[in-house]
Amino acid sequence: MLRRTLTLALLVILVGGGAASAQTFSARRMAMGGVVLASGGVGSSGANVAYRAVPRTSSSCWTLPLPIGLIPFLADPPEFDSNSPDFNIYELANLLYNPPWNLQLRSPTAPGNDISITIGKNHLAVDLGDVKNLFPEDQSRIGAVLNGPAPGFGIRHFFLAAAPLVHFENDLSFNDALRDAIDGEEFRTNTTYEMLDRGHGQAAAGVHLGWAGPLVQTGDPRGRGLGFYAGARVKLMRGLAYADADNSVAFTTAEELFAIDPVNINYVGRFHEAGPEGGGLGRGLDVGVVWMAGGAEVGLGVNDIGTTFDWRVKESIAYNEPISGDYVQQVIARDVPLTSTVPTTAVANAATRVGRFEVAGDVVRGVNVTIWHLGAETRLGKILALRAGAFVDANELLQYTAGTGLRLGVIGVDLAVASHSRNLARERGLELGAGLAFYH
Amino acid sequence: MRTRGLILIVVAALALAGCGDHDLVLNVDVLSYLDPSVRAVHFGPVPAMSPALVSGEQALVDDESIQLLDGLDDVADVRSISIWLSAFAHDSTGSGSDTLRIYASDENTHPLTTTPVVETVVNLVAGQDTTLDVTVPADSRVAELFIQRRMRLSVTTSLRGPESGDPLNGRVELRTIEAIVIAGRKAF
Repeated sequence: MLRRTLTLALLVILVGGGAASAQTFSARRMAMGGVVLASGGVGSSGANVAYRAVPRTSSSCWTLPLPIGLIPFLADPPEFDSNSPDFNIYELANLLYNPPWNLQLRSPTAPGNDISITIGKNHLAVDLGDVKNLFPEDQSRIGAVLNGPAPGFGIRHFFLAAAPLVHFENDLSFNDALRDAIDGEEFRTNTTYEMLDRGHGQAAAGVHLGWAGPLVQTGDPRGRGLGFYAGARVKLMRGLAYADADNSVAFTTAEELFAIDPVNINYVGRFHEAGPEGGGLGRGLDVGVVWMAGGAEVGLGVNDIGTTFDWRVKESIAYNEPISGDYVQQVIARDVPLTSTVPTTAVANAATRVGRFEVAGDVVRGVNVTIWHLGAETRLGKILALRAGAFVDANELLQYTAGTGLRLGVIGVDLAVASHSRNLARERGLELGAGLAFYH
Repeated sequence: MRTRGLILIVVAALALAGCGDHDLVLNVDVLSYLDPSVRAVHFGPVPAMSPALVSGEQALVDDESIQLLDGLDDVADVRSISIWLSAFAHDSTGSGSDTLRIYASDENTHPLTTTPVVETVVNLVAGQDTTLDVTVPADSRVAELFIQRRMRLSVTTSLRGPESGDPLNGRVELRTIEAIVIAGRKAF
């Protein structure tokens, strides 16, 4: 039991302890810093519904990302058996950060120093060395709202699409005393050490009903003309799964650190969970606008305005029983009505041509994080495209990207390399993305 | 879970769960658990006679309970252990020797029923101060004791007096008793 608890606790600390932004699956977008592509490229209509109405360019295409990261993953899969000497929890945690889609060209190594624990009658200190960098400096909040592909059809400016939605958030924190202890200070008498972890996640599927069209359009909006486009998307969804957990692990030292009676670890957790049978209706609204004139464009998309879901959840509590120390979980109520919310996110973007370059930038206000992207593309003839970009990631580190596109008739190949810090050490890694493009 | 320092154990497990060959180094300051009044023994006068007088084993520390970290044995696999003992001896008059023995056992066993972990002789020379500093490896039985929640400890002294000359008078003081445990990851 302790071993499983430890494994779970480690994964919570490791995965909850770092902020991460997701992989970019479009190689063209990845090469351009992950920016919202001008003129409604891949992923644009998800970020800003008004892009559904923006006229496509002659070079528009649909793309097929290639999961080249699967090759090394399948050739040398990680060890999932914790009893195996090859089991490596750092590797598993990094796999959660980096699902094997893009090929990881360079991954920072896990810290490998010895750690030292010093014990005396009233003295306890731990020296973690570089390992302590794995723990968040203070409060660590991660989260995301993921809208899946939305296949559907449209009639004039109206459209109907089916789409999944996944939302998760996690908030991990240590109190000052525990933070100090992790930093190597001695444990103190008469002191409470506490770790708090709050998380929730929900998944739903449903339909998007919307309208996106031009409010104003004169001439060629990419040339001397003008275009102003707007869109709105109502989400009518049904909840499939919901879970939240509010956990506290704490212990308080006595007059002596090593008194005769062991220190009691107090664990308290409160959970709510529901499956498809407990899922109710959810509703939300996305709106967006795009303005185009003189070869430039500016867009603003605001998603999940007032998105809520109704659930009937099972409520339970968990704690360690004071006498036996056994872990106990009790269901205290069933079919409890609960309304969950999905946080509102926003994307503001702009793009223009500067000489031979198409330059684009955006600012994304996500869940507990703000990220900006900047990218540029230039074409050498009709065959070759060169791209570069940069972005500030969820760890507030500046990352760089570059890539190329090769078009042969109606088929193209896109390659991109990008640095990132999606790893436990929050150090720079490098990945390769690839995709096929099929031109109209 | 009725345990001490679970979060600390999680931290230790975290460090050990990664790749590579990094270790957990556990330093246990055993001497700190002993009351200062039992860390030194004064002896004498022990008269000279032939054969020399021997005191037999006298308990300096009689069955002291040592509280350690709970749960460490679940995550750590001990690779080696060594015991560092240092002592200071001051001999006023006479000559002889003192044999120090350290015994350690689990919480269900009296330490004096086990074989000593450390056994070392301090030679006492009239009018001289002697510093003893030894580090000795211990076996796996002892190693396992230091990753348990609780262990028991005894320290004995055994004095041998002079065969001739002045009676023996002096003092032996324990300066350091420290266990250095090197552990690797136990699968979990």
